[in-house]
Amino acid sequence: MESAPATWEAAIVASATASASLAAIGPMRKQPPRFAGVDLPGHFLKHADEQTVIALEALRRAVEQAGLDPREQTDWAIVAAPRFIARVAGAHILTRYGDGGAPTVPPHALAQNSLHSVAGAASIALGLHGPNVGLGGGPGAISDGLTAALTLLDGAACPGLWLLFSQWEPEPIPDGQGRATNDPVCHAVALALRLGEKSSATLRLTTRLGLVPAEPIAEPRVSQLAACIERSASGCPAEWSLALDWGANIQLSLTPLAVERRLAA
Amino acid sequence: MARGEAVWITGVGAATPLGNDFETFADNLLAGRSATRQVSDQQGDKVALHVGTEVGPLSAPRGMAAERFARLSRLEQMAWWCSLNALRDADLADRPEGLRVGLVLGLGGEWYRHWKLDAERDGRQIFEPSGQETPLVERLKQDLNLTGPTATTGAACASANYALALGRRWVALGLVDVCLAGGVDNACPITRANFANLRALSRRVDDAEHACRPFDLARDGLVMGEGGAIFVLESAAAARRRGQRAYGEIAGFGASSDAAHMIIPSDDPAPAALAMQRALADAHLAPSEVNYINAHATSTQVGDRAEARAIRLVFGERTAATPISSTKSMTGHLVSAAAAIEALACVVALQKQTLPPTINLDDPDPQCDLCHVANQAQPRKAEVAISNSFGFGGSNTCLALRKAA
Repeated sequence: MESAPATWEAAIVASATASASLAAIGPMRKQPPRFAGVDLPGHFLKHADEQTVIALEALRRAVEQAGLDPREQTDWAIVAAPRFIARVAGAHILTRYGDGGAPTVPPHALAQNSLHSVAGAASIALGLHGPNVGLGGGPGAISDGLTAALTLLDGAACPGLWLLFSQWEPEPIPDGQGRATNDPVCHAVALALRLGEKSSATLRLTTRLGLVPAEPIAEPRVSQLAACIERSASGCPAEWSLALDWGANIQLSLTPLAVERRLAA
Repeated sequence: MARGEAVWITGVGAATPLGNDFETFADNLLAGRSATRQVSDQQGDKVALHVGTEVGPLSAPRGMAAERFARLSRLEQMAWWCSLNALRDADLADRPEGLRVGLVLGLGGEWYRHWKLDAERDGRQIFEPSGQETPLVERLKQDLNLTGPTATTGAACASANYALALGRRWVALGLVDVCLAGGVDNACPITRANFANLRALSRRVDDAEHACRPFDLARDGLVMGEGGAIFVLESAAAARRRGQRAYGEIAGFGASSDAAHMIIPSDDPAPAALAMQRALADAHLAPSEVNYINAHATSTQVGDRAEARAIRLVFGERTAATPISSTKSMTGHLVSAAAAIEALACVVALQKQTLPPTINLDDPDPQCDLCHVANQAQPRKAEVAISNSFGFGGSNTCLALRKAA
């Protein structure tokens, strides 16, 4: 039975993207991003997963481009949805473990290469004391992250939320030594959301329960989300939507500030 | 459902080191039985001895062919066992058509575990991405014919509290009629090696039953375990309409971040305290109304003291009168599923009006000066319980549970 549509909405107050090849990520580890003029320790990204490195770069760009001050966001939450985090590091660990057993397993592996790792690192980088959680982790990470971001927290209790996505495209083909035999690029997107608010730049979840798509839904990619954000950054209105197999639709609508002002005038 | 209406637990599925159904788990928990044993991880000719807890053999749950169940991985078996039994317990094994059932699982290391298991079977999925991988929640959804949304949450040892919080919200928002929510986890040898190399594991391999001793002065580390618990959540009104009994209400949730370190808990107790304060505020409860705290306390020197400081910050003078225990002393630390099995321990307290103990608490650490339920269960009035779960990445969570009205 089909039900009446219901909508959950958040205003997008900042957005940015970042991407880099595996080879380019090494040097980025040595220069952790600065937020609000505060330096992170130089070793902060030394053991971080590549997806954490790129997600923090997207976060830095979003903060800077929107002129946000993380010190004014201390109660904000972070939802991060990486896809197949740890493939490169995990292949290295598996190979070493096979050769040398338990002593070869790095003590930081679980902390740095798990579903929570991007969200945890972002909360430290920004100095936020709101919730931080990882969503998804594999195929479906984008829909998990978007749905959770719009429904997990009560807008009254949580003023805002950083939503981070990261993904390799293509997936790395690791050699077991911490390197890739192909040339994968890691993409990330950062969105700052104010929950329960309306704006011309919105993230919206609309349910039409009972109305399920007839065709299988292709898995979205972070690069598609990034393209939408980059189109908006170039001054064009941009939209991206995703149908969900349980009878819902998620829509990202970005109207650049200049267009918004023109429309208002 | 109406905004602000209570969300009840109406079904429980459990695969735990203390038993694989609610009553057996409750009996063993309240009897103060340790499930800790010596476990060995062999890699080639190298053997690493640890202490750990394990789930006993699981047979195919009703409604599933034994051969099919036997083909599942250990993690899958626990997930299927818990989900099917929770639905059956809630009288939802045969569901009315159109009932929207969602699923949220706390499971932080799914893909690494998947790749490790594949490698043990001579697979190369980590080296050769196939594009064919399907998340556990999606496989469960298809197999159980669920029609609502699914999600996997990861906050390390706090993962399942986020799963329960998200499931509760989906029910409260009307996104689903019913939500399966909880966590499952099994410690693979690499995970144990990771914690051992952090020097976070207890080294009492020759005295396994006494290895996990949260808040005790002689504690020397945690004990890793496996298992899970999955709950059926639905609105109180829907449960009443079905005449379904309630194990309890998920009354509130709070979360915060230390913003300090990826591994080590913050010296500052304020962020962890904030998670508890947010849970109490969400449940409209005062600290004086809490009858039982199920502590995160894993039996590490740093973590137990940090939690004790945070509890004193929240409860002030009430600290001395608010009973607390760490049931990890019996179950071990189930990592992604820890919060789920500890929510179950709170449900036991609410249902049995008896508080489970911290076993092996012979010499309480003066820096963990709390109102311990030491070594023996205590029959006590229990209307409200809170369950702390803290994870890597500075993730602090607290779930408030209340006896269903």
